[in-house]
Parts: sequence; structure tokens; C-alpha cells
Amino acid sequence: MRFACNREQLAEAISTVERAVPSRDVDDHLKGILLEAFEDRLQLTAFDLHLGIECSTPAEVERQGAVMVDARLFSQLTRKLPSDKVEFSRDPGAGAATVRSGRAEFTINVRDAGDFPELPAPSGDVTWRIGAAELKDMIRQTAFAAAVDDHRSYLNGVLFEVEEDRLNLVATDSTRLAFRQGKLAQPSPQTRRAVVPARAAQELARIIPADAEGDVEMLLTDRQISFRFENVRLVSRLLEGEFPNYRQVLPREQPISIVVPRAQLAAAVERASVLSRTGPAIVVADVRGGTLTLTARETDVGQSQEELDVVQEGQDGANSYQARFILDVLRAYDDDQLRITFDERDVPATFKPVDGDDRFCIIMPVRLG
Amino acid sequence: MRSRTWGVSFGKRTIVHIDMDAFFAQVEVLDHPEYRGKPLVVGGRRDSRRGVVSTASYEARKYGIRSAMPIQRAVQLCPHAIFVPPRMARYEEVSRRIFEVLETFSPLVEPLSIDEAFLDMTGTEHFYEDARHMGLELKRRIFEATSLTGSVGIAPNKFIAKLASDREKPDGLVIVPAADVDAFLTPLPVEALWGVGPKTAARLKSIGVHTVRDVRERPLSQLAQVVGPRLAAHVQALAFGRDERPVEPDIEAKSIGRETTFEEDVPDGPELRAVLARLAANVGWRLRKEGVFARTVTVKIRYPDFETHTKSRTLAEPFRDDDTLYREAARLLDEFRLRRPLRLLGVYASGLQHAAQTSLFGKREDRLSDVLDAINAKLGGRVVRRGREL
Repeated sequence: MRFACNREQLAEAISTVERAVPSRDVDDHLKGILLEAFEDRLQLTAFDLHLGIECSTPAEVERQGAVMVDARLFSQLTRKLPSDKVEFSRDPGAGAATVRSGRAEFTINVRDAGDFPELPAPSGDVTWRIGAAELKDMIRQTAFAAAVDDHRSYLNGVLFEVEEDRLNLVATDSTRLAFRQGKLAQPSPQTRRAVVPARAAQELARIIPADAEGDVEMLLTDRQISFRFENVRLVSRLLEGEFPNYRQVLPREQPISIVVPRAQLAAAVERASVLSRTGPAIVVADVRGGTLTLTARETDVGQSQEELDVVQEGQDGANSYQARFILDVLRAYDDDQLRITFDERDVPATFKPVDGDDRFCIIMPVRLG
Repeated sequence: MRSRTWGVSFGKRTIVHIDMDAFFAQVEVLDHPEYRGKPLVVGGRRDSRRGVVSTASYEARKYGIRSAMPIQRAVQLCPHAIFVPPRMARYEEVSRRIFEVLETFSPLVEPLSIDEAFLDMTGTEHFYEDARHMGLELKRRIFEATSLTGSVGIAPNKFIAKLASDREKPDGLVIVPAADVDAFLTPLPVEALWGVGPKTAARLKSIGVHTVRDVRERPLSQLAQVVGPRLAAHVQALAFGRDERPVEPDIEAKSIGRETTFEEDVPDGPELRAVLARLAANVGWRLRKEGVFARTVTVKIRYPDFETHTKSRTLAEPFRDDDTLYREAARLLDEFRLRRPLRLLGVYASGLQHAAQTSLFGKREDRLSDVLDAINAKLGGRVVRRGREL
């Protein structure tokens, strides 16, 4: 196996796949990156048995071949090499490979490619396509609401729901729920639901640049989903269990309604959170006469009160929420103004843009003692 | 939302420190009246070679016996003293009764140990004629509940309240109003300052600082040269009677519970289950009254031979309704598989918190409890009850 490639392109490919290298506490043979040189490119693969990422980069391939290198070592080494050009060579079956760049030469231990766990081949009966930049946004606006390490594994994921020409993404940790709808490039012949681990979705969003112009292709089987974007393929195991019927918990009636400036509200909620010490910061939102008053109190620390002018569209009223939940949605949305509707009863508050129904986030209140 | 638990005091505070007098020894005398008036040492048998004194009665202290002293040394000082091993379970039982009393005085109770606590009584002053009446009432209520005496200090902050409670032990009551703080503090030796141990004291004395007054009169920079800038600032602030530490209720460790000892032992059956329901209802009512939610339910049982067991379950979501408490308590009682009648049954709620995040998918179970509370509040007492309590 012998190839040469550009150092920066190689480093970029490594950083793309690196997130699928398992963290500590696993067998060494999983901590590798698979390098496959063929035709005019080098393909890099990392796979922790849940999430796999594959990325290819242009290379001058002199002798085709495959080998497994230690991910951490190869990543650090590549970033520090002195020249723009990297040459990699390994004699068939040899226990070490040579990496040359400028006048530097490294000999690094490698493993046979056969030790690397095989990434499931892309399969699925239907391919869906959606604008990459849109999908990135959709993930950013939903995945934050997923649970982390909940025993109900499906709550740790983002529901991908395909209906005709729509893709709905939904995530909930059972106290809040985020929904975002996007448009598929072509209508789907069938309705499908799959729960993608939030981590996989977030890695996909990270890989897609904000100004991406192409589409992401999605392929689905019962067990796995695979995404392809430009030179990258991401494969993830799906989460099992029945995702809650989110339509059932959407609030029907919320007598209190306001339109608020998003950035101003976010700054005020952040200020109110400063007081919290013992538990999550909680803010009380009180709407009265066109003013939203946010108050927060913490035993033995202090209290805060801040007023914001809002456009009041409904009744007066108040309820309490975890500050972090409000901030998460305010930071995920880019709109100047948001409409917030809520109730004094134990029903969720809804955050959504002033126009359009393509996304919303609902947050359950906190009951104070 | 209750403003008093969230209260921030900008003005003067009223802080109470209570410390029971020779607590373990007092409990032993209570349980063994024949010990009264005699030197008593709690902390291992007199033939024990390695044991140390946990508590000595005031009679034993006259012989020079002190806490943490080796038992053998205590035997030498007072060979005719009575030596008894500690019975922690019993002391905890009494301690719980003391804290139940304290919690009726203020929601801000910070336990320091099994027999010592701070209370923030700021804002409750108008309930009492003056601080002395407040202190006497506290001591009276504790004596009523336990037949034990404690010493109380009342002052504008923790540091002075603690010094005050120690001033007139046993059965003392010392009040240091803000105006008297200077006169109270300045003559004290530097060791009286919280954080000044033997080493720091020696360093301060090396530059001629012996009393609190000396600490006040020295420039901070001079103190800092011997004890470092941080400790110097701390010590000087205390010397001027400044201590802003809040009273911090240990809500995590706190529990709300109720137990009952039967006159005649009760086997598992409808009677025991009705008692369980009443205990659960009492605990639920107190949770709601205190304005807190709980995460953990504990059931405690004791057999006639005093063998005692507890079982607990922690739920995913906070609760404070009678139904959840009773359901979980009944499950825990089932798990004991009782084969003998019980002498005692108790229900506790812990993992207390002031707020409860509601769930999108859960259902609220506590509406009925709230409605019953509202009706009972109108009727003036727990008049309307659930059938299972009868």
C-alpha cells in the first residue's frame, strides 16, 4: 500500500471521521481508523459499532491497499507534519507503516485491515433526499430537546418521520419537545418512522457546513440509517422502542399569548439564571398589561426581577419554567421575534416563529412548592 | 410559592443556635432514672482498652472527664463513674423529635449534628414578645417533646449565636443583640474566633495578638504576615462580628416522616394497612404544608424484640400526594413479607425539593390530595379522610 495526499485534506478527513472513534474503555482494535487507498482516493473509516463515519479524500495511489492506524496517533501526527504533502507506505503484511512529509519520517505500528469491524453496507429500499443546509438546521433545532442517557432509549434520539414530501424531526426528553418540519426533494412513496440517536444526528449536523449547497441522501432499514453528503457517509444504528405519540401531547388551548424579541428575552433569562445555586434555575414568567415580568429567586442567594415590553395577544397569567429549557430554544432559533403561548395550568408553553408552523418547541412548567 | 423560604435579608438577621446539653448522657439518664445525679460516661465499657468518651454527664465533667478522652483515662479520673456504650439508634430517635420541634419554628433549620442546629428566625420576631421569650419557648417545646434540656444562643449571625449558646451551659439562654456584639466579643481570646485553631492562635500570639480586641486593633497587613491574607481577612471580619454565612437547610438529608409505636403488637392485616394509610396521609399533608416535593419513600418496621428494618424506593418524578405515598409504602411493606406482628411502623419521605418539573407524558396524581387539603382547611383539621385510613 502506497499513497500520497495533501496534508490539510487528510487532516480534515481525519477530523470528520474521528468522532466515531470509540472513547476509552474498549479494545484497542476499535480505536483505529481504517485507511483504504484505491483508484484516485483515500477512504477513511471510523466505527464504534453504534456510529460509523466514512470520508474520502483525493490521493495519488501508487499501490492499492488497506490498513488500520491508531486514531489518536495518526490524527496528532498529521496535524504536525512539516510539509503540505504526506506520503504513506506499508509493505504487505508488515507490522509498521512509514509516513513521510518534508524531511520528517515516522514509522508507526499498524494493524491489518481485517481486524477492523465492518461498517454495514448502505442498504434500504427507498432513498430520500433533502437540502443539506436545511437538514443541518432541522437537527440543530430539535436534537437539543433529546434526553441524555435515559433508560427509555428512544428518548435519547431524534425521530425522523417521513410523510409524503415532508420530513419531520422530533425530539423530547419527556419534559419538553422540539419539532421541525422540512421538505424532501421528492415525495416519498411510503410513510416511515425511525429514531436516530441524538449523537449521530449531531455529528451529521457538524459535518455539514452551514453554507452547504448539495443534498443529503438518506437510506433506511429496520436497524440502521445511513446518510450520504458529498464525500462523507454516516451510518447509525437506530434506537428501539416506540417513540411517544407527540401529537397527543400538543397543547390545544393556551389563553396567554405574547410576541417577544428573542435576543432580549434570551439575555434576560440568562441574567435571571445567575442566581441559581442548588438546583436548575427556574424563572417565573408573568404577563400583564403588555409587560412580561421575569422573576427568579434562590434561597439565601437573592432574587431578580426584569420587565420586557411584549405584544400581548391573550389573557394575563403566569407560570414557571426551567431557565435552561427556555434558553435552549431561544438559542436554536434565529428569528427576531417569537410567539410564546402558555397557560397557568400544567400544560406546556409553546415557542414558535410569528409566521409559519414548520417548527415549535413545547416546554412543561415547573410546579413550585 | 412561599416568600419566606426564599427570603433575602438585607437588614439584621435573627439567628438561633441550639445545642443539647451532654445529649447522649441526658438520653441515658432519661431511660435509666437511676443514673440521675451520678457521673456518667457514654462511650464504651469501662474495661474497653481503646474506646474514647463520646459524652460525659455534667457530673462526670467535674472530675475532668471530657469528650474524645480515652476511656481508660476517664476510669482513672473517676473510678466510680457509670460507663455505658452509646445507643445511636435511640439518640437518633430523640434527635428526630427535636428537629421536628425546630421545624415548627422556622423552615430554615440547618442541622450541624445529631443534637445541634442553627435556625434563621428572621422575620418571625413579631410572633414573640422579645428574643428571650422566643428562646424560652424553643427550650420549653423541646423539653415538652423530649424531657431534655438544651442551651440556646440568639444573635445577628451564626458565629455569635454559637458562642452565645456555649456561654451558659447547661440549660442556658444567652441573647446577644446587635448593639451588644462588641462588648460580647472583644474580651474573648482569639481561639473563640471560628477558624482559629491552636496553630493559628500560636501565630497570632507570636505578634502579641491574644484577644478579639487585639485582632480588631491590628492592621490587616500585620495579621496577614503571620496567617496569610485570606485567613487574616476572615478572622478580622469575625472579630468585628461580621459573619454573613446563611442558614442552609440540609434539604437533601432532610426527611419528613411519621412513625407510631403500638400499645399491642399488630400483625399484617387491615388494621396495620389502615395505620400505614394514616401515616402516609400525615406525611403527604406535611409535604404539602411545607411546600416541598419528595423523591424517596421509606418504610420502617420494628419487631417486638426491637429488630428494626427499613426499605426505600426512589421514584423518577417528585411527588407529594397521599396516593403515591401510600401506594409505594404499601409495596415496600409487602416486600418485608412480615411473619411476625410489629411493634412499630413508620413512613418517611426524603429527597426533598422545592420545585417539581412536570412531565409531558405523565399524569398528575395529586389533585385529589390538594382538594382534600382545601376542604380540610375549611373544616379546620383532617376531617375528611380516605376510606383506607379507617
